[in-house]
Amino acid sequence: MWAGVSFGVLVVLSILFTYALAQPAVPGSFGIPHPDFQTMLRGGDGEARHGGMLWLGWAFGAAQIVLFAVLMAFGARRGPSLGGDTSGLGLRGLGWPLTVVTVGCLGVWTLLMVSYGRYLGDPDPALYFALPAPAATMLYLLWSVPVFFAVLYVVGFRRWVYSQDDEAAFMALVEKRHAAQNMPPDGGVA
Amino acid sequence: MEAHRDLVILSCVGAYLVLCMAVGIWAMRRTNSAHDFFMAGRGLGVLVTGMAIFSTTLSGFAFVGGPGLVYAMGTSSLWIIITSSMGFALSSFLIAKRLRLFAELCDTASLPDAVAARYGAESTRLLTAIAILLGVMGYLATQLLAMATVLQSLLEGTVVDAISLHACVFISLAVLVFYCVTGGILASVYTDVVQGFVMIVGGVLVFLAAMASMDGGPVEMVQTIMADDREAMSPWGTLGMLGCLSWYFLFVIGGTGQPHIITKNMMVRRVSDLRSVLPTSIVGYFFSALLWIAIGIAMRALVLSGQHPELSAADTAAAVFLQVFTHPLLAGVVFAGLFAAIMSTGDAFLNIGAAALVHDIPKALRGRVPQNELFWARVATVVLALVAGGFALYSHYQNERMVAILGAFGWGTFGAALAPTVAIGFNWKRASALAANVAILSSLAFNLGVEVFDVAIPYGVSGGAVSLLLSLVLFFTISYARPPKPLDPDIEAVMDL
Repeated sequence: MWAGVSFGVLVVLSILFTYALAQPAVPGSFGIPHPDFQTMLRGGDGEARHGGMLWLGWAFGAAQIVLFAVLMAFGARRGPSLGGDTSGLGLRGLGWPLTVVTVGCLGVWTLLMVSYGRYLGDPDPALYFALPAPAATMLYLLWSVPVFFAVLYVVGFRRWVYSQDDEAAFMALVEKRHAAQNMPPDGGVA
Repeated sequence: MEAHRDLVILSCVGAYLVLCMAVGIWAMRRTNSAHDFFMAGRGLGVLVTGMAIFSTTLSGFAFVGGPGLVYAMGTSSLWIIITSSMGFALSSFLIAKRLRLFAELCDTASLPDAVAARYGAESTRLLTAIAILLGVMGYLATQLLAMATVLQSLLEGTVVDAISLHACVFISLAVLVFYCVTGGILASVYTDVVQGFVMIVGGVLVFLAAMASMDGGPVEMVQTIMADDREAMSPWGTLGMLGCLSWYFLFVIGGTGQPHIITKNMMVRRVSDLRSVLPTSIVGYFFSALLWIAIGIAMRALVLSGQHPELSAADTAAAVFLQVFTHPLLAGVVFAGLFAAIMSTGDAFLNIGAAALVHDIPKALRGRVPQNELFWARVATVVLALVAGGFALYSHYQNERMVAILGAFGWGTFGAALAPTVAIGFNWKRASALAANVAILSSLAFNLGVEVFDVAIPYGVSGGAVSLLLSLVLFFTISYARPPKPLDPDIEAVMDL
């Protein structure tokens, strides 16, 4: 199930990507030489290069965040072969916390795009902790909010990632495998 | 102390290099088998593994190229930094536990070993090993060239003023090879710990120095940059939105396919230790990356405001800042940190390259490893280092594009080749060996093609990101297109945990 969802999001991402690359590029869309300093570039007119593609940028970033979260669920899900509770999505209760953090990341991402849209038309943008709002959102929030995924991993490790039951099942598996490898060719009967 | 600036800096760097060699001698006594040499006997603690993961991630690029990119392009390259929290978390959820379980169940000595166990295909082992070897050569050559160039610039104006680049490459190689040959991965990860601490201390202190380097502090810097070009302080810098978002994709998902980083998860003592490895890596990376942000912004503002002349090249931003705006002792610590960053990545590459050469390729082709594998692993380490050094010098004097082309087999190729094969394939039973082989081959062909033919992708989008997306889609499509093959029940059980 999680593989199918991951593939689905990847297909959406590919369509967005192809659509974006098919758009006629604005001259200097990825930087123009600085007129005074040869070792620097300038971004130029933000409205001209990004004004018409804000929705596309939002969708592209949002699809990535959803993909990252889906892949985390993919890695955390438990399969059926060793028994235990694998009902539902196989996430053992991780689904809701993961959804909440993902929605938080999407909220931050939306805030970044909205604040950038306003930044384009604001002649005198305010600074927040020394940065304009969209850059502050990127550096202070988009960098830090995904840390909550790590918090889920650390706090819920024994519940969602590798439980005591998992450990016991794995140790039994290792013992069985090693015993089988050390067994003489006649199966130990003689 | 200012009068003896060069001496102070060289002393710090020299002391650090001697320390690395001492760690090599210490680790040699604990390296008794090829398994110890490649996998540290699966006995690493939490702090060591966490520090090794983040310091291996931050190569010399973070201390040289990174600040240069911020100086030249504004905030664009910060997208490579902010991927760290998401990227480390994704890697932990997706592959850390799975790799560690495979390592113990199948007693693997390398990543291709685990790949062969998962897919039951020697062709996939061989292609994984070849992809690793090609990437290692490129990465290692660029790291050696960077290390030798910095060493040469440090020695200018001292008693060995006229030292050649050849000699600097030789010195760099000698130190790196000494501790990698004697102590294997154990020396590599323990020097990573020292290197990680140096990078953290350097990152924090340089951040503070950079913020104080201009009257008015960070607010004045940002306003100076915005007055010149508002887009440089937007979230996209000068590169633009799609280029930055392609980096976000490449560095988060591509991170799950970096062999020199993810193999560290296989070396941890207990599976449950992985829970503490993740925060160690995130915190270490955060503090070290402060240097990247601070120097770039400070130097761009200082040059724009006329307080410093224009740099001769963007990549000199960090070196110039350290020479002009910091205390000699701090400059010494950070230059040692720069060597630490380069060497921590270089030693990891040497180790996985030697494993590919001595363990994986012979196993794929002949079904067995050479006798006295530990001896040959040490020989392979020396040979790889010498070949990489040769590449570095040849590229510098004869063909500048060679290392650039090989260097392109770095993050993008590893990500596109191994993220599907390892990160997805180790979690998805339906994934097939054919799909993995196609993903690896497509990534090699695409990334090499982009570099050789100098293909420019619209909007500054990273070729590595396109390659990664392509290989992931191919991997899923091919796996879905064919009926799944039955797996070894033990492998299936591990994939269910």
